[in-house]
Amino acid sequence: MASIEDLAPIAEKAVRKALDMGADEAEAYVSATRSTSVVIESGKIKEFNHTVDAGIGLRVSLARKVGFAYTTRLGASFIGEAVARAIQSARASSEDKWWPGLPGPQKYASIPGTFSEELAHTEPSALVEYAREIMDAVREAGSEFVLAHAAVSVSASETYIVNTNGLEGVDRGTHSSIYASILARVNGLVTPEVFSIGSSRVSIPSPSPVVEKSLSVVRECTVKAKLDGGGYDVVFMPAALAEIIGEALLPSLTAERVARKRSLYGGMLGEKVMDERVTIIDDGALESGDASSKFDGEGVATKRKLLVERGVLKSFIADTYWGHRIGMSSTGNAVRRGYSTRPGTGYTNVLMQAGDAGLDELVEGRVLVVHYVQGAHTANADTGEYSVVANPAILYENGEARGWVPGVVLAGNIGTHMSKDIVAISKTLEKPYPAVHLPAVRLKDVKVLQ
Amino acid sequence: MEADVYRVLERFIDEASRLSGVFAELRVERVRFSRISIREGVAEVSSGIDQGIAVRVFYRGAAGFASVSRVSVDDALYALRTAYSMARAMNRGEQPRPVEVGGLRKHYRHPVKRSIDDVSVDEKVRDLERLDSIVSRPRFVKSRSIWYYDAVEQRYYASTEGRLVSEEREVSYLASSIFGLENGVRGSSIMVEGSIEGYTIWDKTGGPEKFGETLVSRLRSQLEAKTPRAGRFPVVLAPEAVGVFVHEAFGHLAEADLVASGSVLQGMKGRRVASPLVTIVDDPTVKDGFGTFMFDDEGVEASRVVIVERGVHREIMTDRLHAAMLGERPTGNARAESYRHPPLVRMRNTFMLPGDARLEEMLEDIDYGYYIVSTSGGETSPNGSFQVGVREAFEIVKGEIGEPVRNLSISGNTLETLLNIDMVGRDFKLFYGRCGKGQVVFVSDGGPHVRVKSMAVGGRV
Repeated sequence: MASIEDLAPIAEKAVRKALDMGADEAEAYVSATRSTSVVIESGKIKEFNHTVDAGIGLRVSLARKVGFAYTTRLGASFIGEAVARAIQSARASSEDKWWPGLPGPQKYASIPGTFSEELAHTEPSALVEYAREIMDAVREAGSEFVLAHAAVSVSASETYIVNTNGLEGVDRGTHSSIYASILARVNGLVTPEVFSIGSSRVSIPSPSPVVEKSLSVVRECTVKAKLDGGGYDVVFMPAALAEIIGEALLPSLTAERVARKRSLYGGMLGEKVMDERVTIIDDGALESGDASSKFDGEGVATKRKLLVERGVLKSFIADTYWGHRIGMSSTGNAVRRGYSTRPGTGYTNVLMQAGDAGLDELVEGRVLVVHYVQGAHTANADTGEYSVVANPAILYENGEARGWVPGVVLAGNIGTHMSKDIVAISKTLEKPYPAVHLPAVRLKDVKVLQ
Repeated sequence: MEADVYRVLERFIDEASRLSGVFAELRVERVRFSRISIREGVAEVSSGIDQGIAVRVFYRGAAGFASVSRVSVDDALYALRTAYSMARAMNRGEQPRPVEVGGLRKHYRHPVKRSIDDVSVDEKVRDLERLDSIVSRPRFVKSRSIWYYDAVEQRYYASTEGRLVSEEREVSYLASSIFGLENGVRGSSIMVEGSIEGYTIWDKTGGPEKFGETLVSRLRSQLEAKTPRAGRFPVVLAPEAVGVFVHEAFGHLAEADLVASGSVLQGMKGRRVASPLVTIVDDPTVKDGFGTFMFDDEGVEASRVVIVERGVHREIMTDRLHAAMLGERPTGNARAESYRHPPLVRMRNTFMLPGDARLEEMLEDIDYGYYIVSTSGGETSPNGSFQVGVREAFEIVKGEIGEPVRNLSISGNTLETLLNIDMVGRDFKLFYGRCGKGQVVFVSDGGPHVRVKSMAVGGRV
């Protein structure tokens, strides 16, 4: 694989060439990623994959018009062609009176726990051993369990960014994750498929806790229960909460949504917008964080931000452009999918503060415990409204699991929930998805339909 | 490019054929694209050339895959060595050998009406700006987004079967969304159009003005809409909603990998899974579908799959591996987002065939129900539980389409719902979109109007 030592001079040449060709500013973003994964399907290893991906993304501005081009061909003539295309793209774009220019020089701090030489050089055969451990763990759990899908993956990447305002940065990182999706067949009953993910920046996560987490939910689904009408509180377990707030709430805390008048919280900085037990943080510099890096997609140093503190709106997340549109600086939240996209606003590591409720308090009385939801992507970030299927929902009565209730539809408004409907927040945090650290939350007034 | 690529393909076949006991395949892709986005009136243009290679090697029941974002003989041979060593590293594999389909040499270029290369970026931006200007007019529109993408996709495939096939097509895709706020009520609407016949989206939509006016009228009805009752009701689904249902709620269950891992369609072949009025196909041969192609990403001829014929489950969609595993024919449903990924079993153009009912007949004996026009997507679980988010819907009151309702979802068990269909319309429309299953690919779906006797409608608070 081409290394950053090879790619950095190419990037520097590209931005100089862009200036020569008439650009006012230019930025080159280079990333090179090597990833390896083992994929399991229906309890057997399906594939062993290895991907080497390197390319350069070029952003240029001229007369406040911004263009972007990328290429995976890194020879001098191809880079020249890509620069020319970026400039053509800029000429065809609109003049943007809000264009703030590219960011200037930054100071970067290294973030502990985001790179491991050993993980970067993992022997591919080691992944097969982990995959076999997953398969063995499910087999040992009993013949009723089916390992529908699973994967073990390791990646190492290097990123280099340079722009004509004097910004320059190099970062490298490693990441590994393990994923297991399990269902059970018991007496003609097929449970929902339940997945869990473990991830780490410095080592391959241990398979057994990941498998056990899926199994524990699947076991609760091997008995069916029915709702008998009446009201139920709903406990959104961390994964279900992540899915709903990710689609319907977190977009409202971005500068882009505020600038575009689509945020539920535009113009409300300093106001109490949520329950006082709610504190939400985005931290791009989190030690060992799945989404931590020295700098964001346009080279701005990452940092920790309180977005909501005890229910009071403290800040939005922003990249340089959308921050400027609402009069704030970048918070280091420009994200990009590698070299192939322009930067846009996005989250890094998201954390919600834990509460004080033990598991027993969360499931007191009659409650539905929802582990995952189906159709979260159909929730509406413009309104906060969602209508999804709980998959699965487990009925608890007086602290005891009565079984899986199939086909439960949950509807509500996550904005309203976060301000008025919180009954309790768990005192433990989980990481249901990489880079998302959340508690379980018990809510009242969720519309439940079976 | 062409001569170079054929040299890479030929050399690959030579080298791979020397490895004994190996089935190996190479994909080379080159996608030259433009993206135009207009947010709040500001147009941004991007472009790129994305090319690379992917090699997959099957050896003693194991599969190794390697991809590189460069194209040369050296890169292909590097990927071949890597994939081969990965397959060997597994030592003992448990997979069957993929179905082989024999040698063939063929190149196919999909016909275009007006090539995207014959239209300047400036003209494309101007057309999109006309759309933006239409949707910016009403005072209740507070935010506008337009995304446009077009590309020339060149895909090449070679395998140790002596197969060397290639295909070229032009894709264009338009999505536009607007957000509105009036009297404290918030709402949004989105519309999508696509084509593989070049720069024809405006011919298909009646031009930017008509497209924009429809988008605005959809938003207006959202802002005027009331909250629906929750419960079970008769429902009439318009073609766009039928398309999403057929794809999301049903089609995924008939993908061979899901069938193998235990979807509700496992073991259901020859059995009744839907009303006798229902025939559902996945057809890569229809004119101008996003899932229309000659060869899939395993070089297999793409052929029509009749998933349900008059209510009876007939076939599933396969790739080479699952065809071997399940004793099915290879249907050409293997698709990858790009050379960076190994192919998965994916849908192409999935739709319900029309029947003979008219919309008025479907509505006339409904005392109270819902008419569901467009959706915000959906999701199914392998056990057949589905959810489809609804964007635009109306009440049906005493046989007539009534007031708009907002933000609801329909859900239930897919097979029960298909059995509950009691009328199928004589109309038909195909829609364009992208489907995510870890990887994103362009697909089409559609159908006629359909009536479901009873369906769970979940209103929002």
